[in-house]
Amino acid sequence: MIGDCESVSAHEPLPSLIGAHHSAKHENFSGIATNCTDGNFLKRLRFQPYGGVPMIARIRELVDNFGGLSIDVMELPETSDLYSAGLKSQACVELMLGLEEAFEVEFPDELLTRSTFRSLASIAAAVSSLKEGAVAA
Amino acid sequence: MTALRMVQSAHGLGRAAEAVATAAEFADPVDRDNRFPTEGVGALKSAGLLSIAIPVALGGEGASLSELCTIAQSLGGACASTGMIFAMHQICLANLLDCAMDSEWHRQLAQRMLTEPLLFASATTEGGVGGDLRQSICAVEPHGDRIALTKEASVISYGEHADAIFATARRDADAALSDQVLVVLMKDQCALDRTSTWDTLGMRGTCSHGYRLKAQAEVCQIMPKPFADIAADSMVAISHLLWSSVWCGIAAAALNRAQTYVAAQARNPSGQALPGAARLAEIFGRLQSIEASIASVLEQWERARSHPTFAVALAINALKLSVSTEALAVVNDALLICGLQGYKNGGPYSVGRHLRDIHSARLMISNDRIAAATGQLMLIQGRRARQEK
Repeated sequence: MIGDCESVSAHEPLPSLIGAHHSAKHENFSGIATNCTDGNFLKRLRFQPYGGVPMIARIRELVDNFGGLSIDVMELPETSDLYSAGLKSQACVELMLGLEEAFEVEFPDELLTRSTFRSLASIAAAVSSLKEGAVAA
Repeated sequence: MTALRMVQSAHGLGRAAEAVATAAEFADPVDRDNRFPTEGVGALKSAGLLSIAIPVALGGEGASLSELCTIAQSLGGACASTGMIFAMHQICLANLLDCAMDSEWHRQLAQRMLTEPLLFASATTEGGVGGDLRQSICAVEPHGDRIALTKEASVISYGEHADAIFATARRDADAALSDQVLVVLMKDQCALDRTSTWDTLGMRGTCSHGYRLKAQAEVCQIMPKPFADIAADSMVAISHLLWSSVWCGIAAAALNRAQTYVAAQARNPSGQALPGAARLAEIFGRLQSIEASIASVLEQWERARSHPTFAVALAINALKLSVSTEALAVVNDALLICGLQGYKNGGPYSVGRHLRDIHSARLMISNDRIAAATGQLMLIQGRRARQEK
């Protein structure tokens, strides 16, 4: 895990944590996030298996474990607002660590914002973009 | 900043000086009699300072958060209760301006402030949720175009003196505790039954009594943005910055008294070294650190406002923790410098009121609660260190 981190930071210096501005990469990500309500995107996610379990189902489990929500995550629609469901910023950090481990990705600082964790679908979009980025690299 | 803006803001700060003087004049009676600072808040109203943050586009002066912090600090030094009321009002106004300008009703309310000095209060605290801002038990009850709300509000600061109350509630009776909205209730739409009395160590003039709030309003008075987002995008950061400024003002005022005391001793030389001078230098350094940290976090927030990361939230929480603790330490040491003259109520070296007022800082959203949340956010810091290896 630590080895992975080192190789990522060696390829791409991290932008300053404070006041990270919209990078090209982030705008690219926003595009994906905006499209995440599109039906085909959700269908792809639902049927895209990850370790035998569809990605969205795995994310649902992680949100259930780390999100500290006041409602049943298993019943939650993929585009429902997780903050209104009780997700707090501090829980997002733990959720992010869980996602990194489960999907073997690394969230760059500019993705550590509330919008990334807004819904099951937006988390899936972020994880997918990170997986695709890793493949492309 | 344009030249016009600079003139306007300088004008705003100049007007604040008069309000600060009035607030200072009545600080002791307000504290002693546990009463609303009518004179100080009246001065804020007549100087047009309640609406100073209304943007230029809406016909206002467009004062920045930094300017509001400067005014809050000066007021806090004069009368902590008046300073805190100014801060709490500006937090409500910021919520309105940041999160509801696409709603006709809310935009009209903001514009109404240009001709009428409306004072805003908030009812976010409720019995039974353990002080968690992000949970409500009470729920909005819809009746066609109208809504009803009953809230057991364990605290509504200056509720009886406000022209509008910003109340959190669950979206509807079926919603989760965290699925909240913020609704702006006008004075004539609210009935307030006092359920507890604010008789406290300090911040006595905020009159933060407990109430059963019963209100009837229009559906359109609910802010369109979910409260989860209002809290994260606007309320929490602005609260901690404005509160910290008020606390910094209290500490600066106590230091000022200690300085006056040491100066008086210096004028009557006893032949011995001044015992308080070294300690005075120490707390001056502490005050400078407080001011610098507020300025630094303010800058981070202004820069990241449109795209706030968790790292910014972390910095803001850490600011609240440190300023509330450090400002108390400054006032505490000011008491040691002034000795019994500081311990006595009344007189030019008394710091009793300052000490009682500043003790509220660690309790306004308990530092223990914030520290626990901040500790979790710190995990991103550890991760960053790991990535940078």
